[in-house]
Amino acid sequence: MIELNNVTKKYKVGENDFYALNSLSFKVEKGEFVSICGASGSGKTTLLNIIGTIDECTEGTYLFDGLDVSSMNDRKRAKLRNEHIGFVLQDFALINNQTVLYNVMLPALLGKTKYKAIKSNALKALQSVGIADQAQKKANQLSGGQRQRVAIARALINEPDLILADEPTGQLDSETGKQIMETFKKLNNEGKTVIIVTHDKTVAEYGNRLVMISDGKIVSDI
Amino acid sequence: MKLIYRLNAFMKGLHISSFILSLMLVGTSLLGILVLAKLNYMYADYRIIKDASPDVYYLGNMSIPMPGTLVEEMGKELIDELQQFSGIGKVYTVKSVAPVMFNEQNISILLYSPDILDDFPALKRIGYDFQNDPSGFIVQSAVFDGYEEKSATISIYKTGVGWHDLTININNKVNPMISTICFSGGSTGTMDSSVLLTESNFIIGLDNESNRELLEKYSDSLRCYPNVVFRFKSSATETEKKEVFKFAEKKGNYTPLAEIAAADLNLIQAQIKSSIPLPVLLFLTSLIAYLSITALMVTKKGKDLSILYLCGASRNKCIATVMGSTALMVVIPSLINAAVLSFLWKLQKQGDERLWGFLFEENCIWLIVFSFVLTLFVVFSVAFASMKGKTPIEILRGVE
Repeated sequence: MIELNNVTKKYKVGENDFYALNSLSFKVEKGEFVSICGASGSGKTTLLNIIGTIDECTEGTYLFDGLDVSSMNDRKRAKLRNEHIGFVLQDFALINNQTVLYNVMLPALLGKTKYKAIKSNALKALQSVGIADQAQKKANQLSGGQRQRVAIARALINEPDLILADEPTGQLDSETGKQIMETFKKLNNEGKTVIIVTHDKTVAEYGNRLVMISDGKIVSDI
Repeated sequence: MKLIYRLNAFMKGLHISSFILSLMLVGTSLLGILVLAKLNYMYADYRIIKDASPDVYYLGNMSIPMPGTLVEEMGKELIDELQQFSGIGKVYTVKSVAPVMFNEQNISILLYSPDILDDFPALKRIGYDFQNDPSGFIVQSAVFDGYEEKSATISIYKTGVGWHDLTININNKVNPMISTICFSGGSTGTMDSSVLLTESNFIIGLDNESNRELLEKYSDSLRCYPNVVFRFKSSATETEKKEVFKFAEKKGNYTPLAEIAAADLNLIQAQIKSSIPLPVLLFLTSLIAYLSITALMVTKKGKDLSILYLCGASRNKCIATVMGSTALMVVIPSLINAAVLSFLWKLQKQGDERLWGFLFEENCIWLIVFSFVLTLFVVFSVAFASMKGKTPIEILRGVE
């Protein structure tokens, strides 16, 4: 499903080049649950951003379901992201002054689905994460766990093949974090491909594959 | 629907300031339109006079003890007297004939000498043209409102018979507001071209043989009031002119048109000086306000944009969202202004007296278009410039 070949991401820091990813190659098959671990600054978030098409690699190729993402323009990458990828971030990335329902509907509003169908799909997605009763509340009125569930519901509304999560439990207590990880596990069992970036060993253990990254390179892949 | 919903959601938190800003643009543009309409009004009057032949004088408000009853003869004596002066090149009359009724309204018939259109060519531009049918009439659209036919029936009193119907051909309909400006009733002493003729509800025909013959049939009941226009020869000396003026002063009020034009121009310039700065200042203020709110939107809503990007919006779509939201703040006031202008236009066509002193012309639409395009250009430029330098990942990192 995902194939990265010799992917490099470099930034200019003053006059020097900083390699966030250095000639990294990486494959993920459909239905896998991959945990990417590494120290802060190791390049794991950059890798996730490139996989999620919100960042571009400087060198190398990235294939998503056989399509060359590295040669796509911004519009095509956005379409791919909208239709096939769902994001869950550490800080939830919700629009706080909007309702839960609107937040969940947002990815679908960018597509061609009719408004009524979007609303109904959003409610179903909220139901699947157990917070349908909070639909009309503002995002900032919810607890951390509930907000992360909203983010998951939003990631699910367009029924993506791939779910990317960046430190999804980073702002949650251990019990809530466990519930959220159970949700990811459940989604993976339903056939979704899940890639989680974390530095938390307990979280990483939910995956059926553990990739360790350091200085922009994969150091182990178990 | 989805787009409006999304744009509306994007503007959340900025609704009140957007509303105030929109109101500001509505007010500014309307003020601009009113100022322009006021200038249009003044300029319409000035245009008639400034294009007039040099050395044309109007002799009106003559004190004639008993208005004559014979249309053809009326004013003939005065014309003959004026023509005896060596400096006079041309003398002709503009006759007002009454009483006439149309649709239960009292109106007058003005009989123009064809010479008046040569001396006042601007009249042709506002619709006073008899070339197609010299025996046809020009009518005010307010008086003949709803009449689309090429002919109309007026009533003239005939002694011993009563009101008698007469069908006339209609050459053209003129805007009543322009007619009112040029021929406002009874406003002698004002420095505008209303001194040329003093009738309000009227129809205008040429003072030619067929029209005179038509009206002669009612000569026992119609009253005819002459006004005289005279033009000097180009070779006329100052002494010759003084002699004519001396005579004219005895007969009625004469008005040098050059003086009226100069006074009109002074008034227009004074009006421009006094009325233009305020709307321009307000417009600049609202432009700056739009500029600020757009910049604020980009910074304050940076997080929302990054989330939008994360959810699958392209970079261009993110920019378009900011632009679309600001455009809404410009489009809605412009639509309101267009609706208000259209309403005022309708009132003007109906000859609504509340609009006295204003003339809404095409340039008022252009003013709305201009303010719309300029405001949109400014807000788009700011939105584009604020976002152009940022890569999507930079926007997203702003969240983290």
